[in-house]
Amino acid sequence: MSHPAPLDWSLGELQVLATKAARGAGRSHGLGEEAGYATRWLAARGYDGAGLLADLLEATDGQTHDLIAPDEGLLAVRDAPICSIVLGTYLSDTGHVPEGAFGPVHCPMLLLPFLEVAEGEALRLTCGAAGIVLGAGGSVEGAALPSAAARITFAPASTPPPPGARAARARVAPEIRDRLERFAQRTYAPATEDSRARGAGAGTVDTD
Amino acid sequence: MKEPAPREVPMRDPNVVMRLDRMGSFHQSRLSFMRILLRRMKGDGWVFSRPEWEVDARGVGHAVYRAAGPERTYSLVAFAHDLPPDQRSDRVIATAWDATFALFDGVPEAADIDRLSRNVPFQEAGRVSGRELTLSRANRSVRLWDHVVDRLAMGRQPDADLVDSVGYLMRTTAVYGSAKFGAADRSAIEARAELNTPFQAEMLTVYLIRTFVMDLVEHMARCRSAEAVALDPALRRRFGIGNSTGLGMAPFLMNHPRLIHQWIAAREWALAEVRNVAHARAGEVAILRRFALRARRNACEWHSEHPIQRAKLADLRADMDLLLVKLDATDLEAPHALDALWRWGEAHLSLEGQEQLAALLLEPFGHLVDAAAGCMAADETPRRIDGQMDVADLRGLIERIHGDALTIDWTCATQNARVWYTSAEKLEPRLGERAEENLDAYANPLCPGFEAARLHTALEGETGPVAAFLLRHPEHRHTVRRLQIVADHPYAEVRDNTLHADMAPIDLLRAKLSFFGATRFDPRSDRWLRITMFQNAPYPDELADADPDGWSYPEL
Repeated sequence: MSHPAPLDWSLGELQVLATKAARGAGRSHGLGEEAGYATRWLAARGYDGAGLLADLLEATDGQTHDLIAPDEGLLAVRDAPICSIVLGTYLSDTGHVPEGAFGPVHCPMLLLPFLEVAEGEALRLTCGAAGIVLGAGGSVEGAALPSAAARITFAPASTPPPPGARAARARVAPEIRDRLERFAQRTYAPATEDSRARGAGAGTVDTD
Repeated sequence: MKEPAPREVPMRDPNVVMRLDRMGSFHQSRLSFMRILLRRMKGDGWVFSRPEWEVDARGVGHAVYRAAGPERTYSLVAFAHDLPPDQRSDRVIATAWDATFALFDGVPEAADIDRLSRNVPFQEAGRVSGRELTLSRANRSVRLWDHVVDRLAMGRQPDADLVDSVGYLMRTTAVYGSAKFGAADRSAIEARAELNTPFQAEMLTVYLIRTFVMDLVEHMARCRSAEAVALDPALRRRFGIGNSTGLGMAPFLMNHPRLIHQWIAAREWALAEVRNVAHARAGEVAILRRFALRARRNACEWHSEHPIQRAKLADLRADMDLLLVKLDATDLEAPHALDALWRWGEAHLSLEGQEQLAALLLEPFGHLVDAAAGCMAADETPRRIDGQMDVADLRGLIERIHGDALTIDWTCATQNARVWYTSAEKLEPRLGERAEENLDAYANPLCPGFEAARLHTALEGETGPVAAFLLRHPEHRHTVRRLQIVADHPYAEVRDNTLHADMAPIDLLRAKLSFFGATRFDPRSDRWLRITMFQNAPYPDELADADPDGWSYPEL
């Protein structure tokens, strides 16, 4: 089966689309900004941030914040999976990463951009049989974790990953752009004649 | 920028500066992006050329303009089109233009030109790549264009009064940079000395567009008649590039708080620096007096039909007369005379005049203030929220920054009259009436005061760290981040109600455009305006022998 070639995007436009898509999926403005940041962060490290975000937004579409937010204690076993953007930002806000298993968490890869690791240290995020290691300065080593909601564990890792190269551009599959665009569309007010005439305050033809 | 030893005059209070009426009175200055660009290009001996000109007798084709600096070369790739008059619109929703442009990073090869020719003419519907820094388009001023072509073709010069009354042959209707439609991210170019100051690629684009437009109008005259003449160089200088700026620029000021802080802080620092000059020298005083005369002339030549701007221009002209009388009666070489002059201005001039004086005071002191140009960029990565902050401290921040907003009755229809939103139609930013249109679901968070007041109410009875509050109330996350930014970026935030029924978005547009270096603000409604850019500036082939700063007010 052949796939259309990925699109060559700037990181900035990916960030903008991701922010809007998260908004369209019901996240608050502040969380939308975090989603945009996280998507760009992953893309700059060669991961498919856009695809991961699309998976997350589809898996949680229509769910209320209360359902996808973690409990303050974090470690309680629960039925409904946690949104990784909500969890990641909470971990970032508190500056504390709990040890031990918790979750399940949707798309745990999206946690990585929110975690800070001190120089010389490393943190392993384990998800079933898969794992990925985060180091200082946002260096990452390992294959992307699967998107499916799963219980996760944080634990110190012995070897920090090498500082990896940063991509200057994002490669976005057209199909994933379309999935994000479907969410983003929800943030745009439908065009009406009234809005067209009044909203921008100018005529539509300039002859002078 | 370094903080000098004890200063008697502090920078102005953000509660004074960041008011819509004052922001709507800002003027260009030495720290405007156009002037920073020309100073650098002259200082570094940039070399300009036009390696390609493939435009036919109908004015259709392409051209390439090259700007070579000490380390890198940039090329404007220009496409000229034959646009039917009924498609000439300055709105974002337009789909065709008289000319379209991209700024290429380096020297384009034939394959690049070919790729761009299949994308740039379509603007938002096309794609550019990481090799392009900007994407833009321009429309003719039909009345002036036709007049200039006619006159030149007849072997005559155009009417100088008509040239002055319009000020440009084409106006840009968008200059997109920073990653838009596939263009290079700012992060990819910000380390370059020549592009570190914001909007330098955009300003270079417009500067080269101006030359292209003048070449094109002379080309069209030559194609029409063998008798055609070139424009008189002095008259040619009086053409700037126009720009139509709509509502879309207004959200920028709210969406880039750290960047806006850097701009305003640079200028406020410069103003304080000049006010702290203990003894101005005779040469500096002479420059100030001369620029004041030129600024008065600028005020007299600046016209607008819009009632808001007409009243402001009347104020400005009266202010300039007052200022000149004051300057004549003042010994500016006396100790601390500049600060005394400033304080006199605060007491006697309208906001237009005060802000004009702020810009004028910088003119003689490039050696003191120009270095602030290196401090106008910002890292705009979403800032990490300090979740350990206690909610009581957060409430305190709101009371300190948004005291006014806490006294407003936000249930009042006049105070809470507007909705900022984005239309599905080419994503044009628009402003709606909350009571008349059902737009709340699409509202963008573009009223920091309103959002802070809402947060203040939500925090009543709350205790503990911000992180726990935000976990339960993600709707306030955006506002908390802003507040923590403004806590140490005092000029980051507009301190007025941007939802008020009487709020005029043109005030926000002018604040931003003044930092570009725009002149002749001419509002066409409360939400869009026209300006000129680079009017009277030396052209690239004149820059080496010209004053890179002296052009920004008309000669006497």
